[in-house]
Amino acid sequence: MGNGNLLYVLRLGGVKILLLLLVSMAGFTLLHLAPGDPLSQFTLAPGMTAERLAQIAHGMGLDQPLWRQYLHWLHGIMTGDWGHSFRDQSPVLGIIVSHLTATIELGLAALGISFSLGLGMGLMGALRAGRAVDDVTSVISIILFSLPTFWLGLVFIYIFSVRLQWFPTGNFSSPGDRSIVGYLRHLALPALTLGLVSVPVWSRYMRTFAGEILKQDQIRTARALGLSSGRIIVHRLLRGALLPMIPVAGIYLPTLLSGALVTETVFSWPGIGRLFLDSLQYRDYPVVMGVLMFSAILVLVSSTLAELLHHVADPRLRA
Amino acid sequence: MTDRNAAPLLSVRNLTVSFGGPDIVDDLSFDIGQGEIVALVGESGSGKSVGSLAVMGLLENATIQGSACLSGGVGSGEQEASTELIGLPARRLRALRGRRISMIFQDPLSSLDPLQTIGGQIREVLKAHTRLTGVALHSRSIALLEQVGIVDPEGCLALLPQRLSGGMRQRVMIALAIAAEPDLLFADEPTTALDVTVQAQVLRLLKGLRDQTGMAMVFITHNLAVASAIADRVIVLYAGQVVEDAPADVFFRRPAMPYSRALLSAAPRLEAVLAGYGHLEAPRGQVPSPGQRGTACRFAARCDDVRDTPCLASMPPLVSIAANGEAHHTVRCARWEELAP
Repeated sequence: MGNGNLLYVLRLGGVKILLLLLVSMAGFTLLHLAPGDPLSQFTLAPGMTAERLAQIAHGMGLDQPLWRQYLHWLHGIMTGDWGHSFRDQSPVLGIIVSHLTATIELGLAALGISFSLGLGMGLMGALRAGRAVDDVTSVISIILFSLPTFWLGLVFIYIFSVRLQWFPTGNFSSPGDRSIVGYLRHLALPALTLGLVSVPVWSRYMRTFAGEILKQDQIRTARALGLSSGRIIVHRLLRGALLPMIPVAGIYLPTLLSGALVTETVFSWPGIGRLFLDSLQYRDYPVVMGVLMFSAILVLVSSTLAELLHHVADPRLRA
Repeated sequence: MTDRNAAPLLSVRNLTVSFGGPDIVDDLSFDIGQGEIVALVGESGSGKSVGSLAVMGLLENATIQGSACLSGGVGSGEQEASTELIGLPARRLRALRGRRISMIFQDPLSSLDPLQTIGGQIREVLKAHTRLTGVALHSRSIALLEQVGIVDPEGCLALLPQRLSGGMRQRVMIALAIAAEPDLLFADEPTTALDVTVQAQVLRLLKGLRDQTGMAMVFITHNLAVASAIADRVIVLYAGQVVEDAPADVFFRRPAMPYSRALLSAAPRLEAVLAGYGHLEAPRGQVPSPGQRGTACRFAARCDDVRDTPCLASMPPLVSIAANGEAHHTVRCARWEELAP
């Protein structure tokens, strides 16, 4: 048992490290294949000469063959040195961390919105299966699923910022305004955009899981034994349906990140997503690679955590 | 055990159930005496489960008419008034379920909560119906498991349903159903999913519980051998109607309805063999579906003794055929007298 477990963990860990390696290789190659050059930002500087450019390229290690650049970068990553931004020479890890809070705040707010709305809609649909509520929640889910994130964001800006002027069009805060209300007003639209587009994931899974439990004899039996419907819904239905949601969440949480990329760009939200796009535009390879690796690690960590959490939360797996 | 003179515990009258279409259960009437075990027998689609679920108030989206009157409980000390179950508000019905009327089902695994220990599930039911807490709650849980013949009740409390065998699960299910000492237990095919040897144990357990507690039981089954092992009385349902209602000993010796006889010859039983129905023969054809029941005797199309008159002329009524001094015996057959052996 113990031996098998150890082997399992080793194999799982090995697979994940291999995955990270593949992601980094693919990212590195694609980045260097793409047109454009990090040096372009220096070429127009006044008094720039070819020798000076070559010097800069040498300093950045760009004159080396790609595989050497990759090995150099990999060695850095392994030893905790994620490199320095081409733009301002600040350490990549520091840049990522400084943009992280904004993304986490946006992500949590969006998650709160999508989770509560999605679970609520799925649960209502399952409890009123085949009736109007079920159809309406399904249609809403499909509509939200089909909406492009950027489009929804722009529509929200047009309606709530431009026309109604309820919320600011973007940014983290207004200059000089450090109040919590001001912050929340800035957070509202991006969080709503990112939240709404991820509602269908939770609502559809919840509808399915809850529907399956409602079909089971245990619900009818619980009623036959005289348990209250509140007790049955919370203790049997919700508990039973949320359990399989844990691995789903492990897979879908990281997709919030790609949604954040678009949302942060539309709303000029100073998070990881916008950092990635900005760095891509400047061909700031170290930062782009850093964000890429950071996201890849996040995906693996979140799915592993979900797996572990599922093991802890499901008594059947513990026994 | 059965006292025919006392008011019945449950009195079902003209119960009709439909799900927006034709009636599934049609004008069903029967009585369950205090402490009586009644086998509700019939093929699938005869309405035995639907009828019971209707009485329990567990049907959704169903149109239910008629009456099901549960007489007042005497077990709890103070006399309660009798209660009409059909149309009772959900809250009051829920308070009765588990405490006065309870139900167990065919598949004990899917009937139990897979995520909760046996102890947790017993406590859940006890908390819903009693004021027990702490040590009292625990010892009552142990006592219940002992009562249903679980060998290691203490250990069982900590287990999840998946760790138990089929027979053990059904025992636990029974413990849950009788936790609040109901007066009436509906048992819907409780032994069908079990091995034959375990079947016999569970039947013995249920019968023993009745003898101990005086709880009445409606035992729903399609298996006449099972019915003969447990029932005081047999009610045969066919296409949503009662077609025969007789004391078990009378029923198994000389059934009056041709359908009952057909069922008995389809079941390999010694008593049936001795009574001359020894050849194993399934009734030909199928139970007419709710939409195609017509106005004649519903068994006519499958009956060997069918005649144009009276069988096809009109629906035969349920008539009493008990001779003077004999126990209640009714049959729905226009030719029962001619056909009597």
